[in-house]
Amino acid sequence: MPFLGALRVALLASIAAHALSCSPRGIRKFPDRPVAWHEHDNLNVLKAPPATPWGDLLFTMGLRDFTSRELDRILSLQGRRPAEDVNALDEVPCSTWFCPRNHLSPLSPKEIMEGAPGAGPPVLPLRILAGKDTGTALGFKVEDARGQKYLLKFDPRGYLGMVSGAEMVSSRLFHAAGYNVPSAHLVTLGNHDLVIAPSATYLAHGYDERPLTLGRVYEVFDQVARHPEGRVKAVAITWLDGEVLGPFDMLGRRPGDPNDRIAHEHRRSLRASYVMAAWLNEGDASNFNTLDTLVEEHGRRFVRHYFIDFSSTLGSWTQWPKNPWHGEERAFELIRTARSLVSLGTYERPWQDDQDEWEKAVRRYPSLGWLPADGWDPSSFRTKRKVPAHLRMTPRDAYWGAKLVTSFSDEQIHAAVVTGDYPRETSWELERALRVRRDAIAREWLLPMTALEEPRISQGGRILCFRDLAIERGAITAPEVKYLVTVADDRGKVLSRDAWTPRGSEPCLGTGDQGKGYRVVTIVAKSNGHFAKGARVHYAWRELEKRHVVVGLERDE
Amino acid sequence: MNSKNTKSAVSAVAVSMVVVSLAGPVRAAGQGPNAGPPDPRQGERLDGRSPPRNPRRVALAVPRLVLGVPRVGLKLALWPVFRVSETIEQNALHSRLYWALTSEDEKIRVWPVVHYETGFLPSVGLRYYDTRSLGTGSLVDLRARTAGPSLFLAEMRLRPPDATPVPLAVTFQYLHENDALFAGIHGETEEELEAQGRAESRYEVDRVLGRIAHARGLVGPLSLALRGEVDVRDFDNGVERNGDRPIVEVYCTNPGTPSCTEVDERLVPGFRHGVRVVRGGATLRLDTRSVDARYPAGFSVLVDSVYSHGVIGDASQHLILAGDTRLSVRIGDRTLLLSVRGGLVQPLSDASVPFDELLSPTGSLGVRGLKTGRLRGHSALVGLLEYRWLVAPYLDTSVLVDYGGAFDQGFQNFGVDRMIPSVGIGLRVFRHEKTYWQSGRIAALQVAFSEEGFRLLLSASE
Repeated sequence: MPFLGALRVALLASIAAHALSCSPRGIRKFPDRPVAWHEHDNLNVLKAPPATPWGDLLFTMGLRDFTSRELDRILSLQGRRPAEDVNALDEVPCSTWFCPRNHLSPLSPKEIMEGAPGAGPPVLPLRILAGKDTGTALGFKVEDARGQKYLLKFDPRGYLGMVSGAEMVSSRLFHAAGYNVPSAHLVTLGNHDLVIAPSATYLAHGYDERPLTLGRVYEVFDQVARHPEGRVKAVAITWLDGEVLGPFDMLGRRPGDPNDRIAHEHRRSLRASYVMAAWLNEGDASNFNTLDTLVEEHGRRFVRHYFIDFSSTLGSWTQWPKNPWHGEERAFELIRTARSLVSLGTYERPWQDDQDEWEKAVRRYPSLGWLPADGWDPSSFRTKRKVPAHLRMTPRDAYWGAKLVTSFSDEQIHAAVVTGDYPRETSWELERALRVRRDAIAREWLLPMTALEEPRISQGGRILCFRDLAIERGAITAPEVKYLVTVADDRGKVLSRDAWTPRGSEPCLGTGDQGKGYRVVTIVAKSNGHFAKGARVHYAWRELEKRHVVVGLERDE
Repeated sequence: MNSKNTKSAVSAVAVSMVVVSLAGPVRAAGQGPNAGPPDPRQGERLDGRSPPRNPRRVALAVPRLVLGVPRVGLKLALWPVFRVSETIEQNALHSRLYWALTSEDEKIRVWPVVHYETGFLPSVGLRYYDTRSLGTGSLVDLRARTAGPSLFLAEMRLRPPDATPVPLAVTFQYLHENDALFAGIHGETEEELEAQGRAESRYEVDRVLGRIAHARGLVGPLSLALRGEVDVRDFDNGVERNGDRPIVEVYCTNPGTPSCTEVDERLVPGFRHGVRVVRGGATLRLDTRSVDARYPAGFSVLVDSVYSHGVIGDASQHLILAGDTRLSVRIGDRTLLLSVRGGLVQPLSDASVPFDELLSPTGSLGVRGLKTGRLRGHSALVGLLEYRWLVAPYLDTSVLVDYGGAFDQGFQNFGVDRMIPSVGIGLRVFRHEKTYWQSGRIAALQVAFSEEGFRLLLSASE
């Protein structure tokens, strides 16, 4: 069997190569240049890229993500590959995908409540233009008195505020984090607030276009939740500007878009959207809850990328509250299913113990649904579909995602939750759940990395100050942490080693260095006997200004 | 190139790649503070550095090349699957099919049914389900299933609307089957059949059944059902199926001789004249289990008595008494089901009880490793133990042990050595619904093994 022999040799060679490649290497220097804060991916596109051809293929795309794409990922021996939309400070610059907001410059509660820019709340009455033909939420496409278009979504009967609240709160938090989302507004509708456009149609059963009649509207209204006095609560989502191109794929690039230079699975903003999804329990995160539009701004036409549809976030699964397994299990789990099978059911998923809790929670907070908080383990979060970008998330990406999530203060969470207009007790519970989940995320994804931020070098290179995010955000206390500090020159030659214990979340350490060359300070945080992945601050001597400047920050993958 | 050469060549390439990959670090030259931020439009990376050189990339070139073969193979193999799936979705074929067979309010539906068990032909059919036409709470349930000329089953069940003062449910059934199984009326084991020179055989049955029933709750979980039936059955020689010979060849007076042309009435009572009976029956049931639970807990006790009176030339008169006790123990997403079923047929006249009226501890509620109809007797007892557990939110697996047998009148020849064990495994598929522990079953598959072989039972949409 020459083929098998050759394969064996090849695998041995690859193992040897991997072992050798883990040995110390030289240093990749950062140039002494300003940090890139713009990706410049909004250049004028002469020809509109073709629309997504698979926009309706929910099952086929799921099948593809679970089978050929997953096998391809494994067999291609990709390993961990660093994200490419990252600047010299290990941050994601502003692009058509993401623009840093709260974690770099905190938004005021008012800004959080305002949410994404858009046309503002709809002006009643609303004219129904068409049925809502995709997704499982009940709703209509409507136009307000000003001619502004919206997608109107209702809550399912028995769960007043569940879908509308999830849309309001999650879209605001995603926007505040830096993602592009459509703006959402709560509306309450009476009998005379909706009229049907004569040309209105709806797509029955996914293929049959029919005139939208009053009877059909009543049919929909029969299934929706109402206020006690009979008025209907709904969320109006602004119709996005520009030409709709359909969802974007979480793998590869959009054909025909010259601005789309980085494969989507290598975008940190998409990889680490997993952490946002975990926080907000977005078990349905996938290609299908995204949308690209060709917009025109400042005389340029380019594609902007949005996350849409937050109906399945928090405790909602759109038609019902989430099942205990939603957000904890994929639609198909080979290993877990096999383990359950061979263990005669003695192997249990964590969510299998949640039935009583679920019953209590859903009965007590029907507007919220099922959003586990106490004892929630962020690493157990799973989206129903396999998302290629999420699967490639490295600990460094997850750390960045945790930075986004943990940047939200209690006050900011309160501001977002207020927009959901929940009953008071539900509101408190949702705020509590989001705080608990945020803190769990901090422990899960901030601690494995040395949470060094905003490094500053002073006193001729002798003092390095920074923020320790893990301490600042309460994942650990300063006395529990010890830093192992190594200073090396640009050839990797170690100049000094030391150990420090911080006194607070903004420690300053002595480097013991007085040289004028390029230096790399490696800091490894040790806490509770565990070493975090290291962070390396690169600084260089700027001759003209006669001072050291930080030129880069990198972290171990 | 022989295998040794291939190996050395691959090793040489791989080692040289490792060496090359570990060559010196890449360094990016500083461009000065006035150079402006890195700009991807100019082909620069956002961190301003040159791309990292990954030594593994070169070293993994050979394994990747080798694994490229299955990668391409998989893509080619899955390509038609995706194309078919895409075509179905793009044209909403599944939706079109569903709505072609379903009313707008989903109260009237037609859907396919599939049934298969080892030793019999697979059958397919349609089920019509209507909860609208006769009013609120009513039901019109029509089923037809066929396996070609061998099997045709048609059934109609009618339930009146809720408003009816004395709601009577009506059932009509017609069955034609030419491979029904017969293997004695004394619960014969395989050894006994062999000693008698008999074997499993096949017969034909044409059956018309009419039933009228009324059920009502008494107190709490206690309910009573009364029923009256008219049952007409004619029998004939069957076809050879699965190695089983037609009944005439096996259950004649002298099998294997030229005189073997008709069934011996002593061995198969009622075969020649068929069954023509009217029945009256009552079922008392105490059931504390929840109806809609995927993992039920509680118990049920059922006592059933039926009086059968032969008419139009059928002289048989007999009483059937049966009992069924089930205990379901729920342990989280697992359930342990213990069931004991038994019954006896007591003749009330000199005429023999027709063979098809005897009790058979086989089928989906009997010894599942045996073919339906394999055992028959004037009395029967079967114990079932089933352990079912969740393997996925929409999938359960079970292991099952059945132990049962059929005996003569009043359990005369009862003996543990005459009971037959079977073991099996099962799969059940459930719908995605509001809670996974209350979701309804879509399909079930069971495989059971006994000393007489293995048996597969599949039912979908029934």
